[in-house]
Amino acid sequence: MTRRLVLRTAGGAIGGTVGGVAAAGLVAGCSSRTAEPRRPKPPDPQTVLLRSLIAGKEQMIELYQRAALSQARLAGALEPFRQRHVAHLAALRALLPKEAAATPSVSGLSPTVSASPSAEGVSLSGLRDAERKASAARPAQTAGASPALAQLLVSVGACEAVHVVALGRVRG
Amino acid sequence: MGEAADALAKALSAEHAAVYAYGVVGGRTSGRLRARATSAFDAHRARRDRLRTLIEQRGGRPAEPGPMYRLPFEVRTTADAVRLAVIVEERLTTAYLELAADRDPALRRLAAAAAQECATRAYGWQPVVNAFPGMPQPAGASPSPATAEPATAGPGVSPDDQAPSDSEAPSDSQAPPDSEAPTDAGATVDGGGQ
Repeated sequence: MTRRLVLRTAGGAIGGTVGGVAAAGLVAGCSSRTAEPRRPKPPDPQTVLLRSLIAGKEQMIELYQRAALSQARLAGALEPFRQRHVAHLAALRALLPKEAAATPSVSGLSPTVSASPSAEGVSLSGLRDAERKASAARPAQTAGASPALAQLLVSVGACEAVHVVALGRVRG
Repeated sequence: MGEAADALAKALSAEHAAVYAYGVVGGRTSGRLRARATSAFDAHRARRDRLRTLIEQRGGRPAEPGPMYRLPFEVRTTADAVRLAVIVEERLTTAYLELAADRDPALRRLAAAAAQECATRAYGWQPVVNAFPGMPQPAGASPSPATAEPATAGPGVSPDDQAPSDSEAPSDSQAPPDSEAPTDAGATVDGGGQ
């Protein structure tokens, strides 16, 4: 057993009666100055999950933008769908911790991306496939989510499932 | 009662109410709408049985359905029946959202799948899309519809223990009007089957 560990143990015992300040003093006085490399704090799993979900939503919104650009006659009909995804995105972002929200997103959404001439058009069936995949993934995604995020995911997944049906009714 | 048991019990109560309500809906529809009501009736009965099993597996005692349920309005016409079906599906979506807050991943998956089914069925009855199905709507907010039809909002289905028993199957039976039905939709749906 190392000296530091012994002191920690003693400090723990003292801490119960004397108080944490005394215990902290014991440890501080005996600690060596061996430099321990600072390991980066592991990312919060919830934040990692949220970032992944946000990136997925951004991609979905971009799909709708590309579809509207490539099929102008559908643009008006598709806009409410896009708006709902934008609302989902805002709700997901609102769950990010403040420090995480301050850093840029993994895939920043740029309105100019969809206007790129090289961007491929997206068909209605392509949108339906994307919605179907998104809604099908939601049940499993709830596993590692906080209760609030799990509820949001269930609601968002329900909206996406409705989109699959509703897109089938869209006529240009 | 734990949170999971409580949420499961609420979902079961809502399914009991749905099974009853679809019996009424089936009695006021015909043709394709009647077929849709029958399909929904079967789906909700299957969900109800699944919830019963889950409650029993957790050592609980699943509540039996109420002998009859008070409806939020008198269902006289096909339009009334459609409106009732939408309300039932919306309230069930909310019940499953509540279940999704539980830590058990299996319950969350069930809740997610069931909420998608309910929201999709609600859309089948009335093509209005809500960005957040099952979530409370902020005051003054309106969903962004896929069509010009307005969203339906209204009270749910509550049990009426004073009423005589009624068959589960879709039929031509008409539930009695109830002008005193509570207007708090969530509470009434959640309170079924006591």
